[in-house]
Amino acid sequence: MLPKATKAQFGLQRFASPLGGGLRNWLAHLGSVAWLGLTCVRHLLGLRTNQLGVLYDQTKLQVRFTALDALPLALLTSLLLGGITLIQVFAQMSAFGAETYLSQLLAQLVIRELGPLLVSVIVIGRSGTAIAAEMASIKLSGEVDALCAMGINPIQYLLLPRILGGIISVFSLIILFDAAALLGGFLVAWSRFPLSPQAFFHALGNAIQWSELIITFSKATVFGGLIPLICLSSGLRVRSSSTEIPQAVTAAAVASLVAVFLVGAFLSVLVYG
Amino acid sequence: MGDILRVEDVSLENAEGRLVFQHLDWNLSVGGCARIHGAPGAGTSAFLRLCAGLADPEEGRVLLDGVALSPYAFSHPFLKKGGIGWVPMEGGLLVNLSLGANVALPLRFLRGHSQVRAEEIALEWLEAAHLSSRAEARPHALEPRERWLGALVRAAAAEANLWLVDQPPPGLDLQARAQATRLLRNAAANPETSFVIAGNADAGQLNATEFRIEQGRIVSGGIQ
Repeated sequence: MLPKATKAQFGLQRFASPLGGGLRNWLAHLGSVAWLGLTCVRHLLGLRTNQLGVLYDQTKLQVRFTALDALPLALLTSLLLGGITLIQVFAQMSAFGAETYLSQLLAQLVIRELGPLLVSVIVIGRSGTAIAAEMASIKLSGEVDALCAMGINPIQYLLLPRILGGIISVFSLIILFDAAALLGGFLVAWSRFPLSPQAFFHALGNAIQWSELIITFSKATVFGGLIPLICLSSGLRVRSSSTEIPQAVTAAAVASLVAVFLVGAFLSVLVYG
Repeated sequence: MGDILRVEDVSLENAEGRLVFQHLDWNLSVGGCARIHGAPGAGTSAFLRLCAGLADPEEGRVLLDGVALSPYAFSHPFLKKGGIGWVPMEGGLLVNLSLGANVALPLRFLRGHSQVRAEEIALEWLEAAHLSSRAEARPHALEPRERWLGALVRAAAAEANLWLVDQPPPGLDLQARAQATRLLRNAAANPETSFVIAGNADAGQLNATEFRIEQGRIVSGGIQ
C-alpha cells in the first residue's frame, strides 16, 4: 500500500506529464526539419560532379510531377480567382468611384499574397502529401537501408532532388499563377465593366514594383524549399508499421500549411508592415 | 590476408528491445565465404544488417576492412573501393525505378559511369541472369524471386567486394537457384570478394564455412 503523499505525487505527475505535450512534439518536429535542412545543405556541397547527372534526372522527374502535372489545375484556379476577385473588388470600389485602382489592387493582392499562398496549397495537396507517403513507404520497405548499404547517400539521392524540384516548381507555378490570375481579372474587366484595356494595363504596370517581385521570389524560394522539407521529414518519421503512413501524410499536410501561412505572414509583415 | 569483417564484443537489441546478440565476436577474412544458419527469428537478417552498418550495436563495434562501421559514414573507404552488395530477401529495389535502372544506379552514382554506359552494363548483367526481358519492369511488377535475383545482379554489376546475401524468398525454383549460383560463383572468381550468406541461399559452390546463430552467439557448424 502506497503512502498518501506518494499517491498524491503519482496523481500529480500523471496529470502534469501530458501538459505541453503538443508543444513539445511541435518543437521536436521543428527541430528535425531544421536539422534535415542543414544536413541537406551539407550533403549538397558534398556532391561529386559525376553524381550531378543522377541528381538532375531525379529533379527533372520531381519538377514534372510537381509543376507540369499541376499546371492545368493551377491555371484554372488562378483564372477563376483573378476574375472573381475583380468582380468583388469592383462591386466595392465602384461605390467610391475608385475603379481606376482596380488593377492595382488586384495585382498587389495576387502577387503579394494570394499567388504564393494558393500555389503552396496546391503543391501541398498534390505533391507534398505524395512526397510524405512515398518517403514513408520507401523507408518501411527497406529501400533507404538498401541505398545506405550500397553506399548511396539517401539524402543526396532521395531528398535533394525533391527539395530542388520543389523550389523550381513552386517558383515557376507562382509566376504562371500570377500571370493567369491577372489575365482572368483583365478578361472579366474587359468583358463586363467599362474599363479600357489600356487603362487596366497602365495601372497594372504602375502597381508592380521591385518590392512585389522581391516578395514573390522570396516566398517562392522559401515555400518551395519548406514544403518538401517538412513532408520529407514527416514521411521519414515512420518507424515500423504501414498504418503510420496516413498519419505521416496528415501531419505533413497540416505542418506544411501552418508553416506556409506563418512564414507568409512573417515575410509580408517584414516587407510591408 | 587480413579480415574484411570483424565483429568485436557486439551486443545488439532489436526494435522491441530484445537482445539479439550478446558479446558477439566474429571475423571473416578477405576472400572468405561464411554461411550463417539459424532458427527463424534467431537473428540472421539482423546479423547481415549489423555487417552492413545498418544496425547500431549497443556495445562493441564492427570493423569493415579495418575501419569502424559505426557511426555509419558514406565516406567509409571501403564503400569507395568496392562497396557492399546488399541482397535482402525482398530485394530492396527502388520502387520508382525499373529493374534495369535499379541495377544501373550504383554504377552511375558510385562508379561515375555515364547513363548510357551504366545501362549497357546493367543490361549485360541482366541478360546473364536471364532477366533482360524484365529490365523495364518496376519492382511491383516483378515476382519475389525476380526481385531477389535483381538485387544479386545489382551487386554483381557494381562489382561489390563484400556480398551480404539474405536467404531468398520461399519457392525459389531450380532455374532461379542456378542463376543465383552462377552469379555468386562468377563474383567469387575475384579472390578479394567475400560473402556472408544467410539461410538457404545457394552457396554450395563457394566452399562456404558454416556458422550457426544460437542464443545470441555465432558458433561454427551447419544446421543441426
